[in-house]
Amino acid sequence: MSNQQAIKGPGSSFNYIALSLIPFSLFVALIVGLVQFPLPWQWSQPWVSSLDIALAFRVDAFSMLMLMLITGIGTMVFIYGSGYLSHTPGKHRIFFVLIIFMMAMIGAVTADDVILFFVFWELTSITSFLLVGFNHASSDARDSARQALFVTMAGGIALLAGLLLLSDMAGTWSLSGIVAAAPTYMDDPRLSYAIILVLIGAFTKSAQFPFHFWLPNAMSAPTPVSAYLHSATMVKLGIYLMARLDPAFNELLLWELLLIGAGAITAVWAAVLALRERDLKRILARSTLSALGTLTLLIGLPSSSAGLAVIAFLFAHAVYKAPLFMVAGNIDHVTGTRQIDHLMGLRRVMPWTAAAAILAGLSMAGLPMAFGFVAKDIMAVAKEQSELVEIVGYGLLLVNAVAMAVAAVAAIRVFWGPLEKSFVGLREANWRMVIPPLMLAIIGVEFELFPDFIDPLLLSAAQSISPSSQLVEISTSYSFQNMFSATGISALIAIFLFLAWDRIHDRLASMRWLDNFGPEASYEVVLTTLKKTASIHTRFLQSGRLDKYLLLTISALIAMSFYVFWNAPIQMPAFNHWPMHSWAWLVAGGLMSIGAVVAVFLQNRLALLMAVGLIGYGSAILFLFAGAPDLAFTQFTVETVLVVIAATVIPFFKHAPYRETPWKQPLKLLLALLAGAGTFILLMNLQAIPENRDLASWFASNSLPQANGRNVVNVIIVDFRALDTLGEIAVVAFSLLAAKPLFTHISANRSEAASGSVLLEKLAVPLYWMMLTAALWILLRGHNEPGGGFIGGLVAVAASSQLAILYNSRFARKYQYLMPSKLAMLGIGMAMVAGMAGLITGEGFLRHVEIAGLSSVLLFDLGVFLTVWGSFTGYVYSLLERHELPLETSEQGGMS
Amino acid sequence: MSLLMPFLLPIATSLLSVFIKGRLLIGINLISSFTLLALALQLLFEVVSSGPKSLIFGNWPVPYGIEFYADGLSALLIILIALVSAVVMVFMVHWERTSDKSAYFALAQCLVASAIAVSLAADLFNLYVWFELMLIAVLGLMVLGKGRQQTEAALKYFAVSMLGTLIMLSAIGMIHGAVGHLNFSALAELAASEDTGHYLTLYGGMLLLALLLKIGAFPLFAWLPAAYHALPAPLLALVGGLLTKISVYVLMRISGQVLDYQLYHEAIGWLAVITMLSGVLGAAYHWDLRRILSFHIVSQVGFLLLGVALASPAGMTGTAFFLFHNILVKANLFLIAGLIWMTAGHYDLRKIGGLYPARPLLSVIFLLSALSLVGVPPTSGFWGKLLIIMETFTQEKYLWAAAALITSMLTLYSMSKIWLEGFWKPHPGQLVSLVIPKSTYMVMLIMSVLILMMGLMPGPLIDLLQLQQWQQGGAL
Amino acid sequence: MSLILITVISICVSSGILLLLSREVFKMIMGLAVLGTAANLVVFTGGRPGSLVPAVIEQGSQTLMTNAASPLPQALVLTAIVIGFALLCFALILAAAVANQQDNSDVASYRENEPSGNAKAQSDKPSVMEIES
Repeated sequence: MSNQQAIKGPGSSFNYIALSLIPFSLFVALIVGLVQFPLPWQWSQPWVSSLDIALAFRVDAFSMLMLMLITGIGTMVFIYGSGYLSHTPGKHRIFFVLIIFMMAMIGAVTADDVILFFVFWELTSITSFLLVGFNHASSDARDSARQALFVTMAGGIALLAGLLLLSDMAGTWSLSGIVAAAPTYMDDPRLSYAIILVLIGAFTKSAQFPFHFWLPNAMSAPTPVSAYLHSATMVKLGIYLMARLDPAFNELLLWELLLIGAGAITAVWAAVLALRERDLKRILARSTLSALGTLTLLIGLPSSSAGLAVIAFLFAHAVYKAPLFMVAGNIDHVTGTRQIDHLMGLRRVMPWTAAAAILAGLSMAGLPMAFGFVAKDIMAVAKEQSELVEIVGYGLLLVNAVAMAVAAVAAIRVFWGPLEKSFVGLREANWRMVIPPLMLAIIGVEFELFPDFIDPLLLSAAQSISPSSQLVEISTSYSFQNMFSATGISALIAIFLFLAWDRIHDRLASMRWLDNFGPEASYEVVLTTLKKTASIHTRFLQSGRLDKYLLLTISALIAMSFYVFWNAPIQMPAFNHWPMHSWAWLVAGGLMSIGAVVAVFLQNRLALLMAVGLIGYGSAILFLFAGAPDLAFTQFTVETVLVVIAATVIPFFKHAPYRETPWKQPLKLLLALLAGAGTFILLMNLQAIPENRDLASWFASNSLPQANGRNVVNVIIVDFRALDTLGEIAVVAFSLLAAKPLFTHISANRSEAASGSVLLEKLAVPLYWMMLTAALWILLRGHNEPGGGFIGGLVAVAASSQLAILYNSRFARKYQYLMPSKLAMLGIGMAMVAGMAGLITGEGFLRHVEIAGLSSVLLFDLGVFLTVWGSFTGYVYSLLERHELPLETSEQGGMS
Repeated sequence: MSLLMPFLLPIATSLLSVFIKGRLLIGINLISSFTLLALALQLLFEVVSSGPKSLIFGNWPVPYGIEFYADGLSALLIILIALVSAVVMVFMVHWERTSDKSAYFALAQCLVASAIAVSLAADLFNLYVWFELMLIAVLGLMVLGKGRQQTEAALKYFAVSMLGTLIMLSAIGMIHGAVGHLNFSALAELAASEDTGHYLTLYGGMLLLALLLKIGAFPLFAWLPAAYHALPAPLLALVGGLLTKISVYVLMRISGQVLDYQLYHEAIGWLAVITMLSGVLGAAYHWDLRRILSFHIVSQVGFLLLGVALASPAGMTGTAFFLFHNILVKANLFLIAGLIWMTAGHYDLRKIGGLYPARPLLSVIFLLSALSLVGVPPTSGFWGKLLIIMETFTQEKYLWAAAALITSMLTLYSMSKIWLEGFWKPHPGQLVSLVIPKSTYMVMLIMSVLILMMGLMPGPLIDLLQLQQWQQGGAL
Repeated sequence: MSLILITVISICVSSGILLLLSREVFKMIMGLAVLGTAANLVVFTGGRPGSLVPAVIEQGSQTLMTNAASPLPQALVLTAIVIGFALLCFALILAAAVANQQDNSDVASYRENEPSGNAKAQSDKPSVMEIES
């Protein structure tokens, strides 16, 4: 990121050619290193030590060859790019990403740890995505970039899985270790899956059938990018990986079949499709595909000399294809078109480019003059030595022929012949765009003439992937017969293709079915299917209707809980005695059941509220007759306040209740019954489990001696488990704070704020004080007898509510002195201060402390009291105030 | 003390916020947030140097009082809570100028306090209380927006979450009824014992259901995308980035250290697989940034559940790593969504564009976070993914691994959609180009650096998490 | 023993679920209220209720009588009641606000966030938050 800023900083005055010093210095360093230190170079440093993943690098001759290609061609591409992009806005981004890409490539071809390798591998995919989409204003570029990303990343995921499997089988993360340990896991049943997964990764990266389609589309990238990534380096990464792993799996039929099959299909298919293109760059892209296919095929051949062929071809292809791309770029740059129909006779205006094209074209066509011949020659030998399937051989003849024809198109057709009028007066491209292709093309030719330096490197590179490689004696293998068999026939076909190019093209272009056929169409189908599936899925699950959400959630919960029942042991208790007080329980239970059943049938909201209230009051009675007076009182007061608040809220529901008959909806009814039955089972099972009274008896025996309280429930609330209570009053207070903005949204139809009679008003104030006193009394006695902060607070709420109802809320507020929400917060604060007391004495937060006979728990309970009082009066006042507002203009009908 | 302060500080700040306003309010909240971060770091330091810490409120003997317990995992989680909340506070200072800031800060601090309490509580009922506080704080933040969408979202969120809360309460009540204890270590002992262990299978299973709802597992996630997107983006960073993850953390803690969930691991695993795929499909469908990111929460929850289902120390380490990575990345993405909204004027991808040329720094930050979400190396997400997938391979759950890998591919799909539509595509109209405060960029850069650091140097974090004692089968 | 209690709880759960599944928003909230009461009773049942004696230590005694009701579930229920009540109050206001804003009390019609039809019909207005430029 900082780099990017730095590059951006110099602005347009910055000469981007200087950036080529980065790859160039790396290149020089490599050469120097190569002379000074013998290969292989190794370096390792723990990365994630607990997983044994290391930053392990290993440079052998093969890696060295790749490194020289990456940095050498990189230098040329950077020089070229500085000219090609000189007027492109945002070019700093391209260079920035290109540098990252180069680093990633360097990392990928030197990494020995598979995870490290994968890291760099993915990085090349991402940088490629960013570069392909450089012209992001065009939707074609965006789509191509995304296609390249999806295909290569999907491959990356497969590769990761494959590599993980491989390293699991081999017991090492090291790439060379995996190859070395190959014999030990040849019988592992996971091997075939691992191979398929790894090959999917390699095939996507190197654009092999059926994943080849992204590469021609990726040509929407700027030319320097195409030359560098999509012909010379990145697409070779898959080849690199396959060649690396080849020594391990060379003998495997699966490996052989997949490589030869995919390679051959890619090579032939791409060669045919190359004839369909009119765009020079796309023609080159197709022929790159074809070359990649040939490479894959060669790796798959079970022959020792294939290794050298692979290496030689890899090198040659990089050295001739990059300049050809640059030539295409120059033509585009100068003439503004890449369509070969218009391009003729350009040698007159672009002589240097023409020279580069011819040199590179010669190399590509595999004629004896250039280095390309050497490579092809070696290949021819390699092919003879292995039992090559005949058809593949013929196919390769065609491939060679098309390659030559393409070379001829790029080198001859566009440069010779009459110059089109509109091109007269054009000028040769910038020198920065001419030198690089010329240099690279010359290198290609040079090395044929002086192969002394490169041959040993090629040989040792070949030996590092196929140890038994030997240098085929180039000079002796150059025989007349060989020339004919390997290149001669191809050349004849090529000449025919070149001459008949337009006619063949027209014929092929008319075959429209080719467009809707093959993997690219499948890619589109996958995308469309994905969108459709996503749409159906999401509209079903996320329908937007709350009732459906609840239905879905409840159904799922019930289904899942029955799964739990199925798996867990369930027992039923024996009921052998009924407690004496069961009549009280019967009454309470009866009330609740009536409330529960009736509630389902009621449509009127007030009536429904009453029915629900009945359930609450019933449970209060239950509590009372189950030795829980605190609960009973709390439930009574809560229920009362709830009815007050709910009754005040109900008028705000202005519309008649949505009428429905739930008992006529069998699904809902079924769910309800199942939920009830589930609860029944759960609770019956609970009764069968013997009670563990550890906690109960500890609280029973420690309440008085340790915490000075006789009401054990209250002691638990304010002392033993005071933290729960602190959280609880926080919920209470914050619920009011949360509800505050909501009050502004509600308004009633009619004002309910009818003041009571004078007599009642006169009574209200004294009543208020009386009730408040009672509330305080309940609070104070709480520690030893039933009562406490909650109940006291709720009684105080009732006191304030009656005042607010009988007078009005503003009047009631005055008697409370502090805003309800602040009172509530103050209450929490007070409870926390009470807790702090224990902190000060060193006993710990929320431990009771007695000072002069007064316990800090009293302060705590007072806090509870204030919070409850403040919060719920806040609700009551705010609601009443909404009623007291002047009538708003609402024309809806009243509630039923 | 080091366990108490990270909880007390935000709750005290929250209370105070109700009473103050203006610069004082903002100042105190910012100071409090950064102090919290420091306190959290100190807690981690103490935990690393002298082992897990325990605090019993009121200093009562252990199964009787309420315990707060912190090990490396919870300390790290608290650091992330503190970090995200600090970042969001900085963000919110500039975000909204008209609404009730006191209430906003009070509720946000309350959310932070309850989230920290949830991460620390080692007592089931106490856990329930904090979950409720968390719920009400989120609801409060949601309705602060005051729009119709906000209240509606709050209603949907409330109705479904409340159901989960009630199940949780019942389950806790029944667990207590069955074995008589609430404290985690006491429960762990009981769960491991022959006599009482099988009681917990049933009621622990019910608790699991409640947690799955809170987490947003398939098909219990309806509340999540329905509600989250109604929040303004920075708050989503706090809510969406943290809440479900904290629930996952609770599930990890309970299933890894308290109750015996062996019976359910297989089922959880398959549920996780469906959750992952369902989440990404939802994201693939939508065009609204917040909806896309909300659905991704679901899918990542699935990923986390998968880690939980693997139920081995290595799986838990991976899950924990993924959890931390995801909190950071998710928060960052939501903040980016906020900035996108400020810059491009919309959350809907069809109505925006052109951010790449206009906001290069934002683009880089987004790219990093998005790639991390997908799990592309060398970002933090890669390691989380790798750790979990390696463990699925070890356990030979190849289908689960395949689902996880497909999920990351589909995540790539929707992330590339955001990139293509929001960043690369030219803006169909005009960029709004509000002035984006530098401080917001700063905090996001810090987050991005953390994401990158986690990716480049995952070793220390993984080592720390491996020290964590994960013991299956109940015993602590 | 607590067969009555268990039966009543189950009935309440059934009723609560049925109410919760209702499309009338007020009924839905009341369903949550009923379920809340049921959940509290479930917690209470965990303490094996049966004793009539409150958990209060009598004068002169240092410990609770052995036949007294179990105090811890009571304390838990007390906390749960108050929390549930606070949330219920909030929910009532929330439901009223939504019903007011959307001018309807049918839950199924609350589609402001997630309108019907396909994704194209979504209209998210970012104008909710105000920003000074």
